[in-house]
Amino acid sequence: MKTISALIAASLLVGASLTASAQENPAADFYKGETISLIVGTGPGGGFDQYARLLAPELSDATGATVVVENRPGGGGITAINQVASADADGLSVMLINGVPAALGQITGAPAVRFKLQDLPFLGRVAAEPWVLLVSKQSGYTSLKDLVEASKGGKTLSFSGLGRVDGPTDTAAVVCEALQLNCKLVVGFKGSSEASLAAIRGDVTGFAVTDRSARDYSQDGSLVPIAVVGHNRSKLLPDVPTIFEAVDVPEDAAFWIDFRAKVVDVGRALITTPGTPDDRVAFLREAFAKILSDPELVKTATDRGLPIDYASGKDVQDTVTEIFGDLPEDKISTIRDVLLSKYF
Amino acid sequence: MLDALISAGSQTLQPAVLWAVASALPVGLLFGLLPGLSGLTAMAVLIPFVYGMDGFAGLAFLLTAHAVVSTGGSVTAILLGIPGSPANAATVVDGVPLRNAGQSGTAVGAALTASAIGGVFGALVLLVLLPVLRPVILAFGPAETFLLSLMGLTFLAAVGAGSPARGLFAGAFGIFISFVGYEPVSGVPRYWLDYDYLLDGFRLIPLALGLFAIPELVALASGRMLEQSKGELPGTQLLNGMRAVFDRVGLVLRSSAIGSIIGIIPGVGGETAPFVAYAAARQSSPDPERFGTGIIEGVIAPEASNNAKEGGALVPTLVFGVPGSSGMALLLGAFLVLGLQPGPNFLRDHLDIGLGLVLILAVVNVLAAVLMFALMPILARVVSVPPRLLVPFLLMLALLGAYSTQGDMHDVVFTFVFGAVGLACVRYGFNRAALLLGFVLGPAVERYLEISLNIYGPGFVFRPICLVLIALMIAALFAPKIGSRLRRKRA
Repeated sequence: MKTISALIAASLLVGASLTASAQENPAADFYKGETISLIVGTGPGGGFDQYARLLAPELSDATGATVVVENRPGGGGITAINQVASADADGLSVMLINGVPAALGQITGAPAVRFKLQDLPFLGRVAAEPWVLLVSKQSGYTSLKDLVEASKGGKTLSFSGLGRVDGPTDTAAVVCEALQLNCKLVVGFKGSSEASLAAIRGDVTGFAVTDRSARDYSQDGSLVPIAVVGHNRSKLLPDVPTIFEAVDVPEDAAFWIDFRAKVVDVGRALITTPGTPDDRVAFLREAFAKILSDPELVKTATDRGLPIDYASGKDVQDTVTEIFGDLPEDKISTIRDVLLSKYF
Repeated sequence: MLDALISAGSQTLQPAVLWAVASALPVGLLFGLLPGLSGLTAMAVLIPFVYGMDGFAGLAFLLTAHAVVSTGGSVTAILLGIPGSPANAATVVDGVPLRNAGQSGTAVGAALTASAIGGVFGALVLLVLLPVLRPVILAFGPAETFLLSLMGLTFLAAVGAGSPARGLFAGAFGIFISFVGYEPVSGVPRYWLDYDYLLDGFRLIPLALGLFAIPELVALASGRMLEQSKGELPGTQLLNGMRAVFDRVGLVLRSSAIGSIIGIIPGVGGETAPFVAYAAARQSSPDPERFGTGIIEGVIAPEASNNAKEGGALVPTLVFGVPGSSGMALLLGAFLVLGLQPGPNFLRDHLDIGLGLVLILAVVNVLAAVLMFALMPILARVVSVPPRLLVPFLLMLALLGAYSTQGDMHDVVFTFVFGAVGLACVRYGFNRAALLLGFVLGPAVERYLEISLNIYGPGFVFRPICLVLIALMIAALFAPKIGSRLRRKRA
């Protein structure tokens, strides 16, 4: 009798705790057995795809859901963000976005952008790479100071790039604007490596890339890294000064560098659909926090050439709010002018 | 160099590498045989398998699968009239009339042999250029790329049969539809009708499949039988085809050289190589009017060049980390996965790997052709499958191919849209190969013209290499006229 009542008591306890846990975390129960689409805005095989395929099994373990990587290339990743932004708000569409073109596309009013980054729930940041300005050995310049002086002497500096707001070009544009340089941006190159060839050949003065690429391109000295466009030095290129260390940036001009650095801080970020229940957003944020701080995963990723630089969903959200929150209309039109027309 | 060559040889003979090659070879050929599945898809599908492979074996694995795709694709192009990969589109032009004349065995034999020789040639070019690569690539800037692309456009009228006027019209239409989407330099979207899919423009694979596969399938479904080889035994035909290639060594080498050069220059799409080789063969032929009616040269030229271009495309990939083709862009990604860093120092630090890749490229091209020869008795039977079974199967494969490139249903829909265009082209005698060539070259011409004007101003045409290219272009335009006049005088 005693044992039976003990059993009943025990089962009641277990039952109660189960209901309790279900009440505590309905999001965890929701995801069990569901299918999460982990979307990337590029085709298979590229960097974003590789990150997503690395994260998919981990996300599956952390949530109990089946995670499927979906490639939805188009419009430089913009199309897929549109789709996620207007998907069912069930938290089953998660996307790894490229923060730089997304944020700049929104600010410059790119034709296909139908989302507002500040409205999207951010789940975390996988990586963010600082941008570095390189000059061609052929140009004869070796430092940012040289560039400033040459520009003062009436020389025009040219930088190669792809589109207008997908990284290299806008980095060069904000540097030109902040330091009041005479610049000409030569865009239309098919990829950043082709843009680098133009610099190596000496067709342009230089160009800007992420620190990893900068390290690779500068191996043999045909391109020289002269400054990190931000406040902190790169871990990969510890000897390269920041733009603030390299030259005197006028106080009112620092806005441009800060602005660009914040956009970079969004990095390769994870988003889901606006309107997703808060508990699911919180649950996914927690899942990514755990996954991306796991030293084993960080090591595997780094070995595959996929560096991890985690920031929490909340932090990224704050950065996005800072970028878009207090931008007055006239500032936006100045930004548009600098990024889209002034230096072309 | 010799030490590195020996070390490369011994690396290539490692069991792990041999296994990698042996497993990738059939995969690459299969991707080539199946319409719509291209080398790019092969690479994307196989990349996950290289995790954990030894560096060199992993690269050999991917390179093998990628390099032999166009060898497999030539067989589909000839037997079924559907290019197995976009690089085989030019082969259809003369391959199909040859098949209809009962000469499919000869055409396949010639195509495979030309592929093998072209591939080995491409590898040799890579080997010879390895020490002097940097200056060669640096010599070809935006201005030179523009003129090369323009030179490709001058061949529009010469690709395939039919009236030159219709060839030009089809080419112009191809250029026009290439304008859809973001303008390459200003980033302004054109003709996109507020329809997101069109922002990136039309895609090559649905276009190539629509133009070539759909009309062929429609013809099959409406009762036309595939011609079977008649007369000699298929085996004899294959040998005849092989002999035809060896009788035209000059043509094979010239076409391979064209492929290599186009491969080396990153801006010109590798897809153009076979068209340019085809047109060049026609321009330099004593009887250009026979091209498009089923002439063996029309199969040899594109097939030699499309295998040769892979060797060329490896050049900028290894030396600058600048991919020479979209497949190479993925290969570049794999280098990083395997912990290798292509770029300026790669050949200094890893000359043996560079040379090893050259060896692999040469060997697999020959192996692929041999394997396809061995499989021909089985593959040739596909033409005796009744159309009611063959058409649904091929249609499914083609649509799967269209879908798998980007995972986008739009591509499937547009395969049908371009299918209608293809049917119209066939019906009214417009040249589909010219359309495709215009489509591929249009953006390159536009992009590099604008960049050149931006960097150098209009004076860029006076750069030395540009002047040479302009002279070549003029010579190519007038050569057929002058040539035939000379011959008439002699006669």
